[in-house]
Amino acid sequence: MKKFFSKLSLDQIRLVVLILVVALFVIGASAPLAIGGIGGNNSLSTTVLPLW
Amino acid sequence: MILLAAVIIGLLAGFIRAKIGKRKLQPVWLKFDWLIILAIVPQILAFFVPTTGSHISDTWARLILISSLIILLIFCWINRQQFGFWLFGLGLLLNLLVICLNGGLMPIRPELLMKIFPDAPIGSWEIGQRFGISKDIVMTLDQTRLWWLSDYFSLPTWFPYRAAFSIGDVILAIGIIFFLWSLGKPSPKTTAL
Repeated sequence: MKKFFSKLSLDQIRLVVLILVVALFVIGASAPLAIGGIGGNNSLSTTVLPLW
Repeated sequence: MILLAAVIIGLLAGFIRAKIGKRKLQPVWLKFDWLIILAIVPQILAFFVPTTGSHISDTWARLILISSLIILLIFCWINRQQFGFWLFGLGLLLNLLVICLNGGLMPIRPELLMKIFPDAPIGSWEIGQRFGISKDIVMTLDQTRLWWLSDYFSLPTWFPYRAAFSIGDVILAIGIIFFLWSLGKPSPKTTAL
């Protein structure tokens, strides 16, 4: 793990951080409603998923 | 899934663009990126984690959604010089507008809800009520202000994934693709040469 991170360049780390920031932004900014099955039960609270 | 697809498409487009130009992706620093954390943490607790979301009242959920969207809008304005952020801002603004005009949650029509969630137990949702712990509220088109900005659209029936989305979500997805594609642009140094 340590080796893996030591091999990453500053630009690669910046890119990963940027993608994470964009993904979080999208989660917060969008309001789609999607149906999935986290947890595998039928409770509404676990079957309503965001589109990410 | 759709927005995740937009991220993947955008990244692929950016990689291909950079590869064609024989350069690497050019990550940018976004200003005030901590605003994202400030906006998203309350949303995750209210809308995505059932154990916490079920304890948060609808009134608080509405306040959390509106305030976090305003924070994200400020983040967009601060970073407006970045490629694609105008689209982010526009998509966000359209979602915020329809949410504010309809009491603080994103309206979804009952017919669409039944279409994408046909197995919902009877009585699990009602018109005028929030749908589960989601950001959506079930409202008829007559009740909905600016219904064409609400979660009015859905994926085609042949698609294996069922979802409802708004025009704002589509604009956001386009913005993601454009922004990530822009990371494959020539660096200022390369351009100068």
